[in-house]
Amino acid sequence: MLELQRVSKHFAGIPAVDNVSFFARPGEITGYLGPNGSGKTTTMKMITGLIERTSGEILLGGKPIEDDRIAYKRRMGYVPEEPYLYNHLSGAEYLTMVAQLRGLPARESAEQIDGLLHLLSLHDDRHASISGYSKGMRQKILIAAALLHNPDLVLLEPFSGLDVASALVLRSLILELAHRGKVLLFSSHELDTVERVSTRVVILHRGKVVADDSIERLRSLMELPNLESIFSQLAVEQDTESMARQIADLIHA
Amino acid sequence: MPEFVQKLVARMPLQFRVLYHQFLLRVIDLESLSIQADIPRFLGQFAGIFIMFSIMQAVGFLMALAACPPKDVLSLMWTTEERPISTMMLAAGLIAVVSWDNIFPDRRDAMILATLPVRPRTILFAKAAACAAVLSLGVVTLNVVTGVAIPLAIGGITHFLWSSATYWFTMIAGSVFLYGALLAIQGFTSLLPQRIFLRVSALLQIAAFGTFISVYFLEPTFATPAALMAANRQWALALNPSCCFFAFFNQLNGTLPLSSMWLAARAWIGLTIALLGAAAALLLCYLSTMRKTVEEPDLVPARRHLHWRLHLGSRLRAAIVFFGLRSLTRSRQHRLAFAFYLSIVLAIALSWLRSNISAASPRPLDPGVLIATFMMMVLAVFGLRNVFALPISLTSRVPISREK
Repeated sequence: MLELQRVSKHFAGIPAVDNVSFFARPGEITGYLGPNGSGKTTTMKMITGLIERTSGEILLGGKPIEDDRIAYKRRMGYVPEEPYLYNHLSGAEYLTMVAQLRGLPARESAEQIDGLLHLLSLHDDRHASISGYSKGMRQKILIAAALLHNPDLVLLEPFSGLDVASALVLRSLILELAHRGKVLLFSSHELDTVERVSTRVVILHRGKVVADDSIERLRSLMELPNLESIFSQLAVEQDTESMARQIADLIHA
Repeated sequence: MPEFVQKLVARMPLQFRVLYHQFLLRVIDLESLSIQADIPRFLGQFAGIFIMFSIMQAVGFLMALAACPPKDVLSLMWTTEERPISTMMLAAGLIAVVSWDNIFPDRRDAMILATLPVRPRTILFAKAAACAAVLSLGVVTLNVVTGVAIPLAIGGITHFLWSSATYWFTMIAGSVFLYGALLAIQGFTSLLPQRIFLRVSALLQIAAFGTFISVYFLEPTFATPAALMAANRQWALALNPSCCFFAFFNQLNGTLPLSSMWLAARAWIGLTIALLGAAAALLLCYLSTMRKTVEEPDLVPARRHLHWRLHLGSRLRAAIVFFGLRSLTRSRQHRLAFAFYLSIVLAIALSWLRSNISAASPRPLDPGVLIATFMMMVLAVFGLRNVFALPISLTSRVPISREK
C-alpha cells in the first residue's frame, strides 16, 4: 500500500501541497484529481522522489521510501505528463536503455520490449528516432518504459495525444493491472475516464485534500449525479459559463 | 577503441557503461549545433579536421627546420613548441564551449534518470567519463603527428621517449587546465537561482568563445629566452595560460631558464586550482542541482517588460525583426551559430590589429585592410542570414520570459 502522511511541499515559503494524507491500496485504482496548479504533479514528483518534500512521510508497504531509494525505485513505474525522452535514440533503443538501467535480464527484456512495441502499435517505428515520434507515440514509449519491470506501484499522470483505440487499450490496461494486485495512482483531467476506472478518488484544491472517498459515496453524500458535478462543486471556483461569455465578448466573437 | 580500453570498459558496472554511451552521444551541445545533429558523424569530422591540422603543422615545422640556418634553430624550436600548446588550449576551450553545461544533469536527465534505480554518482562518473573521452579525442587527434615530430626534433632518437612524454603530458595538462577551469565556472554558476543561471550561463558561453579566439590571435610571440623575459611582456606572459604551459613544458625538459621558473609554477598552481575547482563544482552540483532542475521552472516570469520604442515601418517588418532579435537573444543554438561567424570576423580583425600594433609605425590603410573589412562585413551579414534561416526549436533549457 502507498501511504502519504501529512505531506507538504513549500516553494519559497508558499505551500504547493499542504498536509496531504491519503492511501492507495493494492488492487485499487485511486484517481487523483485537481485543477491546474492544485499540486497534483508536485505530489507525484514527491512520490517518485524527483523532489524533496518539506514535511510528512511517504510509505510503500509500511516503509518510508527514503529507507532504500534504489529498492523503492525498482518497485515503482512512473508515466509523467511531460514526455521527457532521449530524442537521439529510437523507441527500441530507449526501452533497451531503461531495461539495462533497471538491471533486467537482456534476453527476457528484449522479448518484452518487442512484445510491448507490437501491442502498442509501435513495432513498425521501433528503429525510428524518437525525435520524429508524435506525442501519442512518445506517451506509449513512456508507458512501456514504466511497465517494463513489472512494478508494484504505478503512477500515471494525465496523458494526451493518444488515439481513441490506444486510450481504450490504456483504460483496460489500468483495470487489468489493478486486477492483478498493483497499486495504481491515476492523476488525470479526464473525469469521465477516472469515473469509469477508479475505485476511489482524491480531489485536491489549492494544495489541500477536499475529498477522499469512493465515487459512489461522494455521489450519495453530495447528492450529485456524477464525478464532474462533484469536482465542479469542490474544486472549480469560477463561474464557467460566465467566463466563456467573457472570452467570447473579448474576441468580439 | 584499443583493446585495453575495451577491457577496462567491460569491467565497469552495466549502468555506468549504458549511461557513458548515452552521454557520449549527447556530450556535444545539440542546441548549439543542430537539433538533429548526428553526433558520431560530427565527432568523426571533428577528429578528421584535427588530424589534418596536425599533419599540416608538423609538415610546416619539418620544412622550416630543414631550411633553417643553425643560428635560428633555437628560435624556431621555441616558436614551434609554443604554437601547438596554444592551439591545443584553444581546441580544449572550444570543446568546452560546444559541450557547455552538458556535464551537469539537465531537466531531461533528471526526469528520466531520477525515477530509475540509478545512483547520482553513477550519472556523475558517466558524464565525466564521456566529457573526458571527447577531450581525449581532441588531444590525441590534434597532436597525432606533431606529437611525434616535435619530440623527435627536440630530443632526437636518444631522448625521444622523454621528450615525447613531456610533450603529451603538457598537452593533457593544458587541456585539462582550461576544460577544468571552465567546468568550475559553469558548476559554480549553476548554483545560482535558475532565472539568473540561464542568462549568465549563456553570456559566459559566448564570452568564453570570444576570449579564446581573441587570446589565440593576440597572444605575444617570443622567439628567444631573452624575448620571453623582456620586461614589457611580463604581464602578458603572466596572464596567458599557453605561455605558462610553454614554460611548464620546458621545465619538464630541463630547458627553462631559472628566471622563468615562476611561469612554470603558475601553470602547476593553475592546474591544481582548476582540478580542485572542477571537482568541487561537480560535487556541489550533484548534491543540489539535480533536484533544483526539477523543482525550478525553465519558463520564468519577466521582472519587467521592455517596451520597444523602435519604429521599423510596417507591422509585418517589425514582427519579423523582433522575432529575429528574440530568437538571437533567447536561443542558445542561434546565439552560438552567430558567434561562430562573428569569431571569424573577430579573428580577421585581430590578426590585422596585431600586425599593425607590432609594426614599428602604424600602417596606413591599405588594400589588405579594405579587403579584410569587406570580408568581415560579408561574413557578419552571411552569418546573420544563416542564423535567421535556422529552424526555431526552443527547448526547455532556453530561458524564455513571459509576462506575469
